[in-house]
Amino acid sequence: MRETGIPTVPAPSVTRTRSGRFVSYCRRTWPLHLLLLPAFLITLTYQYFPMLGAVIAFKDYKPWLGIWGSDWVGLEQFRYLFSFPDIKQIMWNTIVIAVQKQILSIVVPVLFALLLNEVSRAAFKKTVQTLVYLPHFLSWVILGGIFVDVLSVQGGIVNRFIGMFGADPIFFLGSNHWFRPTIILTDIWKEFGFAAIVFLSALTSVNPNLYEASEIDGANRWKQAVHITLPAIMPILVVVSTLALGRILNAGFDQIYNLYNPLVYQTGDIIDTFVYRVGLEGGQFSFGTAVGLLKSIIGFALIVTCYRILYKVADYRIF
Amino acid sequence: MAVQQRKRRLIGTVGSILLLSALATACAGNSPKESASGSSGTGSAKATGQTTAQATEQPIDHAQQAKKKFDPPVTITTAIIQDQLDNAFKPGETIENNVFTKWMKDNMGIELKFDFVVGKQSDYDTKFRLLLASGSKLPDVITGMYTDQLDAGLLMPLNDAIDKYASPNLKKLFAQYPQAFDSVTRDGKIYGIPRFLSADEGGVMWMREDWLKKLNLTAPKTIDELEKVLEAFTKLDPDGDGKPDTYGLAVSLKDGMYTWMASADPIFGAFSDYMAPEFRSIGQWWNPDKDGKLVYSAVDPSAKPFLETMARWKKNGYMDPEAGVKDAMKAIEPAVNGTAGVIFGPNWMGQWPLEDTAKTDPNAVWKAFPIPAGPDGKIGRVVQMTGGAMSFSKDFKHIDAWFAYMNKMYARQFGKDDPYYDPTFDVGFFEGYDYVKYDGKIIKNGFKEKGVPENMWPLASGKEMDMKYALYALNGAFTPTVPYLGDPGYAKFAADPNAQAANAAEERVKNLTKTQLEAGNVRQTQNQADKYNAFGGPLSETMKSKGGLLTKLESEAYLKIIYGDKPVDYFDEFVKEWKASGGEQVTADVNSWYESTKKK
Amino acid sequence: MLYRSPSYKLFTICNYILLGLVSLLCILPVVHVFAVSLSSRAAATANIVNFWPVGWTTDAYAQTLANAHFLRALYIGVERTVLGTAISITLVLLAAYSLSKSDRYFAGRTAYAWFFVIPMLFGGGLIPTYLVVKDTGLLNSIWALVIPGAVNAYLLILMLNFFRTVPVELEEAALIDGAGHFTTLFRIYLPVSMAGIATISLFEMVGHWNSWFDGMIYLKSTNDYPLATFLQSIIAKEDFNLAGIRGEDVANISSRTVKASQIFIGALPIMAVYPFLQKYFVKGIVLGSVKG
Repeated sequence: MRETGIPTVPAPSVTRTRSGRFVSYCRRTWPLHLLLLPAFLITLTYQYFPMLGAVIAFKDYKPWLGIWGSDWVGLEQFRYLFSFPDIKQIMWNTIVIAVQKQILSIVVPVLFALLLNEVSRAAFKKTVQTLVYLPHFLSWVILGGIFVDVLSVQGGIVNRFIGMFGADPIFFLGSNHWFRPTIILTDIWKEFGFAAIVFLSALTSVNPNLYEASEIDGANRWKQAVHITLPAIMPILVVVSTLALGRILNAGFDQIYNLYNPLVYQTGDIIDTFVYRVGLEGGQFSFGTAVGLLKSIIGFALIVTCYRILYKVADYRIF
Repeated sequence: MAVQQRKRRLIGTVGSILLLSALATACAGNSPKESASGSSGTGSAKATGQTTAQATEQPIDHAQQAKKKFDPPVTITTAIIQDQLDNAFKPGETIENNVFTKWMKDNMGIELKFDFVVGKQSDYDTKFRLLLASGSKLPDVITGMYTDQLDAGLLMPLNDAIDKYASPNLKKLFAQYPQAFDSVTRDGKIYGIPRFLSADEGGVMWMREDWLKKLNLTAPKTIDELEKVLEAFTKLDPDGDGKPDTYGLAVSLKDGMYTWMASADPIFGAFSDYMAPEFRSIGQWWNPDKDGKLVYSAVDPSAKPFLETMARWKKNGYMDPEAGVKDAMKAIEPAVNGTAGVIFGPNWMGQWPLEDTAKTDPNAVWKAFPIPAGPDGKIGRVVQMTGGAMSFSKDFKHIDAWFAYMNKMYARQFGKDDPYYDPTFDVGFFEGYDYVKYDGKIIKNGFKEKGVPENMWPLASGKEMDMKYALYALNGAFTPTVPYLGDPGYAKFAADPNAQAANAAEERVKNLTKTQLEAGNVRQTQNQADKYNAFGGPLSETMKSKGGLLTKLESEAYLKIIYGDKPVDYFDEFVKEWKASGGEQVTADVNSWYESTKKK
Repeated sequence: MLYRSPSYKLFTICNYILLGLVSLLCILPVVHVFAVSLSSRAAATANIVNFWPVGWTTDAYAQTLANAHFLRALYIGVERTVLGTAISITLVLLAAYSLSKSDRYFAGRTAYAWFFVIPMLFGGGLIPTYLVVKDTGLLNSIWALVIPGAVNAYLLILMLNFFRTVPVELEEAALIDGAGHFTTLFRIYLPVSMAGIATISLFEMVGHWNSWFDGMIYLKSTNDYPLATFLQSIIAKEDFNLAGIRGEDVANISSRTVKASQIFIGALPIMAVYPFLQKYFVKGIVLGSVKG
């Protein structure tokens, strides 16, 4: 853990008393508090005040009655959520897809960053890096149409490729067997380039002297990658992974909404798409908020757990 | 990425709170944009009948009202969805300031102000949600009827205003289609003015005539004959390229058996007396059976032979293998790129998208045919009568001005005898906008082809202007329409493109292309096949809480059977499960609403 | 030149090939969309465009670019992005610096950290946020787009971790020379953390540039819309008001070509700025300033 700070030796008489310590604390840290102030105020106003509105999840919210005027219904919305016969399946779909996505969305960009790091030709490196982040800019509305074509059973590129090996065409978007992998892989494809940027920039902070030194000690690139490069991006990796845990129940509404259809509801219907459809009919605002709250609580619990584990085990605070 | 995450969360929240989905409204026509308070709309007698029977207000003198200019000028505020850009306004004019807003101010004394302008329906709904939640003032004239606003007591009841201010012809129209008011009436009070559709969107069967000729086939009149044609299109290489790259039917099944293009509803209609199911709303479709009880079309036994047929066609490769993952826009592609030879849809498809086929294959000729009959001679197709409604803030002080405006706009539909008919709009609205006078002729489109000099074109691009944003801002940019009124025009103009239009409805028809006109004629021959949704009431509590589940069951069952994942007999299991999961209760709710409307 | 084993040479070749293939995989769909944006509407509806435009036309772009509102929306988009990024990055840098100190030195640091993290997960939702924005008087102004989301906790945490990698020796050297916190931050930390700053700036810029929903809900008139809102709300008709789709309307439906062109119009500025930032992530920065 980073140890900073002026190794000042304060006058003993000042620090022995409680108030004395407090005064020296203020003198030392007042600039830090000041630096935090603007961010603190904005967060308080625009993030915390609205949070009070989450109480909508426990009410039967009617917009014209306002948040406080609407009836309190306690856990009714949550009971309603779990009353659906499909809810277990939907939750399971969400978790399965989200977990696989989170894992791959860390592993793939990191691998990519490591591989790219091995490239010595700057021009090639820059070109590759620029090309792979482009899919991030395509929206799922457009990609929905593109993937229907690419994955088409009738002459879609992927199936033609498979056909070269003599296999039968696969109905990716209509098959419960293939829908999830399709979702996951296409999402990774879209985002890995952009996500890798974080890791690439972390790699730049690695002291090149370390590489030279290890060369002299006889380490090959592989050992260097494992012992120098990887540890260098470990902090960022850990942070990104932990924060990703907070989104554990976000399996990607935008993407799934544009790619799914009734044939694959069984494996592809996630919490968000389900709530969206229910919302269309019932217009239940409180319901949506309640579901959001549930997701937040679970995500938060996971982050807290991870944070504590890392602190206890590695004495490392990820933030 | 947190920023996107927040964005997504916002979107997710908004999406999941879409109380006021226009989609639900639109598809229903008689919209279930209804309340959270669970009123089942009992005792909502036929309000128009009531008003004409016990008119409490005397109508004003319409002849005088037609000429009235409001002095001092009245200001009407509204909000609008403006989703068309390149040919709505001349450069320098905007929706807030254009030739018509000026005309309204100078001639009628009406000043138009916009509280906000957005680009699409979901944005509009969100804005209304926020207006309500923040207690802000509503616009005077509102496109759509938001039940939240209604429940909050913010909308104006219109019974008296209709009596007093609606023109005689308009009142007649209302009386002719009282069911259009079902969804906007609560406890006998009317809160919205329905916007009628032209009802000429009933599906026809579009077929590649060149393929029929090549394979020496005649147009099928029954489902069995259609099956043979589909088979031929799939197996006999109608495009002559030696490759098995064609099939019969282009169709979209993702959103239901009915959708706005590439629909399967005429096929369903061949087997069933009811409307082809769609997957979005539990409010659609309900039709009366022979005992006068409303039945949810998706669970009626008559769906079974339909499913059997579709499953067989799917298995044999006669239809798009990916119909279940394609929505309407995607499903038309095989038709346009020469892969499919049959597609069901409205008459206007003749121009778009089907005309584009000729651009890739110059031999392609699409022709419209009547929809085929089923084994018992049945034909049927889904038609919608209304497209939303206009509602008004209860603080709106000038409802008479709105009606004066509306009466004037409608007058062009009704013809010269209407008291509100304005002769200055005889040939068109504004010269240089929706028409030009050239060489002694009134020209409304095709300026380039007709030799009009470029400096006289309404727009630099040569396209015709879409005036509805300028003209009909107070009707939500929706042209006032009378159902079926334009029908005589189809035959008239197909025969003689230069014939005289009797009213604005026919004028609109006159602008269609020959293929569209002919298709329209075909459509008319089967108007008796038109079926409308009979359920127009608010969604009951059960409908709201179980609706999503029930439509999910329905969509999964239908697609699984058609795709062969489940046998046709699975349908019976589905119906049982549907009933047990709340379907029984929903049916009871719907019928109790229906009973209550029958009391006159 | 250092020795590279033959197996490493083989690896290098494979690596180049692999990366090349992956790049191709990523660029091809983008090329396809670009080709669609330059194709005729008929070709797009028929879906016969592959990687080269069919029926070449710039109509799709013209429809957007020729629109009177476009330039204004573009300007507002740039204004919002520049302003928003500047404010955001400033706040984040200041706060991250403080948070990167150790607990021992700065007690209460962890409390602040959690304070910023919690709203990442919990939010009031659309209506409560709207009400707060309204009540603080930001409605109908560009500030509504720039202030409420200014503190991006994710970027804050990233930056805080970047700051932690600044060698302690540098800081101690500065302190010995009598520098206070402000000086340390500006003279030492910032110059040395350019990679991190470039990263979070890029994310923030992209976020602002693509953010369309807030523009729609907080602004009254389409005249004030930033580019993303303009494109999303007006140009791209994604959902149809199925009520009353009529023959004459249908011909005007935004085709795929327009939606495709919208992506490029929206993405172009970012892609233009990107190379300037890229050098911070791709080339290494030599931290040569500390010896021993």
